[in-house]
Amino acid sequence: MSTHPAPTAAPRRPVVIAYGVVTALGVAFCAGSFAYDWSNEDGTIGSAVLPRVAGFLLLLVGLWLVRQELRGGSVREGDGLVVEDEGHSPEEARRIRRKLITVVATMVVTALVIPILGLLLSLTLMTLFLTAVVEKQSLVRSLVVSAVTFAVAYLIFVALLRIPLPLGLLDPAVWSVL
Amino acid sequence: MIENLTIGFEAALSAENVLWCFVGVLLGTIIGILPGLGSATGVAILIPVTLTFSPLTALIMLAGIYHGAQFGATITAILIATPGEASSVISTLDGYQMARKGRAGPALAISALGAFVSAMVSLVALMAVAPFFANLALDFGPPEMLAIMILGLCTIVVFSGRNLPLGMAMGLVGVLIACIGVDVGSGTARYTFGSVELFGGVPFVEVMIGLFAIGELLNQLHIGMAAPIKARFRDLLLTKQDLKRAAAPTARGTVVGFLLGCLPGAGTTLASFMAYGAEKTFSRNRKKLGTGAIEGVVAPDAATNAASNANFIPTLALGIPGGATTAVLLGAFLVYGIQPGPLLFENQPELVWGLLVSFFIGNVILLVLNLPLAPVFAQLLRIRYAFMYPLIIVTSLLGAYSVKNSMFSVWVVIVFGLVGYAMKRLNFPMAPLVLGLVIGPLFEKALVQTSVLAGDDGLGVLATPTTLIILALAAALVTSPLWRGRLRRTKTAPDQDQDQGKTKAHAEKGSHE
Repeated sequence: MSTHPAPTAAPRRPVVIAYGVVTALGVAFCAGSFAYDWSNEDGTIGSAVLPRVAGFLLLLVGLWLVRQELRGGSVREGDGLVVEDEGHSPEEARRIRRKLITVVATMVVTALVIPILGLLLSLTLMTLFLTAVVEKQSLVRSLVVSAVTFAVAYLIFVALLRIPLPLGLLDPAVWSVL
Repeated sequence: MIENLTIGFEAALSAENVLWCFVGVLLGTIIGILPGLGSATGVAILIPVTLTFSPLTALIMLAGIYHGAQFGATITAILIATPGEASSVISTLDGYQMARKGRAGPALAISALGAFVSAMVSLVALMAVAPFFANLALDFGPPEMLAIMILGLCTIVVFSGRNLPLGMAMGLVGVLIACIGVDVGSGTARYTFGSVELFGGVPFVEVMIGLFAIGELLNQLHIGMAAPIKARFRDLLLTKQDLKRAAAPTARGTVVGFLLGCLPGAGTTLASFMAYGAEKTFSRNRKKLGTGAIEGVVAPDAATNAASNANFIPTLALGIPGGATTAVLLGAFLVYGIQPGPLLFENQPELVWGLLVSFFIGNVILLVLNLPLAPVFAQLLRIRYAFMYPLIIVTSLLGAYSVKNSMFSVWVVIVFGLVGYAMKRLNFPMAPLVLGLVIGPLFEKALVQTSVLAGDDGLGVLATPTTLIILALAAALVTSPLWRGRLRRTKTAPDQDQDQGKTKAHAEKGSHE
């Protein structure tokens, strides 16, 4: 008796796209490897060998996966399964999507402002924004959490481990130049 | 050996040394908990602090940091799926699942206990057979290392679950990502697009933080935020059943870890993956692995600890670092004017045996410190996720930045966080990708070195007994789904025949009646 389910389901679009991306990655690495040498002057293995072979293999495996999915033959349990948003109403799903986008955007914006405000201050403000605005916690509680985050991070990274974290425009060296 | 141990205990058991060992273990645990700051970084950062100490005290403290960081890294891997070190990545697979089921306490406790047992066993082995294994490791040339790497890559089969092509694809993606950066053989910059940051390759630790910590966090937000886990006190303690199930995986993990740890460059990460692979192949509960099985927590942690101890064999006996942290420690040896190598055991027995005995002391302190604290650490999961996830982002980005003091690391975490989230939504296996990423550079290095050695011989260079045995093991592993299925069928066939015979007899009897 086969352990795999019968290949009857329709292909799933996100999975086909993901397998397509994986295949494209194989093509890109394989094609890009032609810019490098297959063997060195002394006859040893060159820098093109691994990416070309691995890229080509990924292309083959990727095509196999796409074919498998298009024929509805993917394993439905375990690997390769798109987790469905079961139990979420359309309104809830919209809210979750909004929150996800906000959190990712917050991380990106934080990374962008680090050179200006410094690492610790940017991350503290990010914590405050996420707890107070995104999670709608009380302002006092959010302020306490942010302050504790700042203090603990400062103690461990700056006071104890002496890691030179970027201070951005708050760096005294910047002001001394002015 | 008794005489050497006496010398070691006399040297290490001073109040000052025990105190600094404790400080080292404590600091190491804190460093390990922080994602990105591994034991190598921790030791490197704290070497200047130890410059005023005697060489033995300094090395005892640094070794304490090393051991503490190994355990600390597992704490966050289990509790919030945020591996503090590369070697604890594999602990997230089952450890985090155990935590989500309210069994974070037993997961942490068994991890500490397994690590302790494996540390004790590997230390006895280290003391007894260090010179023998050092010579054995010397016999491991590039072809043997290449065979080991092939074996490592073949474990992708056991990490792939039911969709082998997908597991292979993820493994290949990992190998290809590892190709980015300056090539080890010719020094050519590959796929860097002129970016100086990419010359050193895509940073491994930052990729792990992104894939596991940020990826899991976004996934939790998607599925509606993890509820706080309020486990009963008795659920936070180890049961007899847990201990029974952990015994064999601890033994297997210790053996795998010790053997791989003896080899210079193989590292603790590979050991933890191979130990998990061994469980997937040999464990009675192999089908439960990945769903919160205790075997999946204890075996990799035992392997990591055994490997980190065995790493000292080539470091002390040959002066060749076994891994990244022992390479930094080797630097510390030179700072204190100590020359590691075959003569170190003869010339400075107090230092060598004192250091080895301090590993015993350090591991005892680690156990005493962490076993009772496991239920306390587990209380972290009671924090509401609304407060927890901003803290995870903060520690992830801070930890990533401190790896290289570079903003590039922060961007890598964010990008791979999104990749990890997509992989989680699509339920793509992450372990093969990580394995490809770990083994890719080691495999290429061994391949290039073997090709240099081979000259006109071609594949003939691989025809050594050790290489052939390892390659045979790799072949057995790759074909294991086939031959194990056949074995199972052969085993069940006589039973079915017997059952059919019984049914037939029963039917005949029925018809007669």
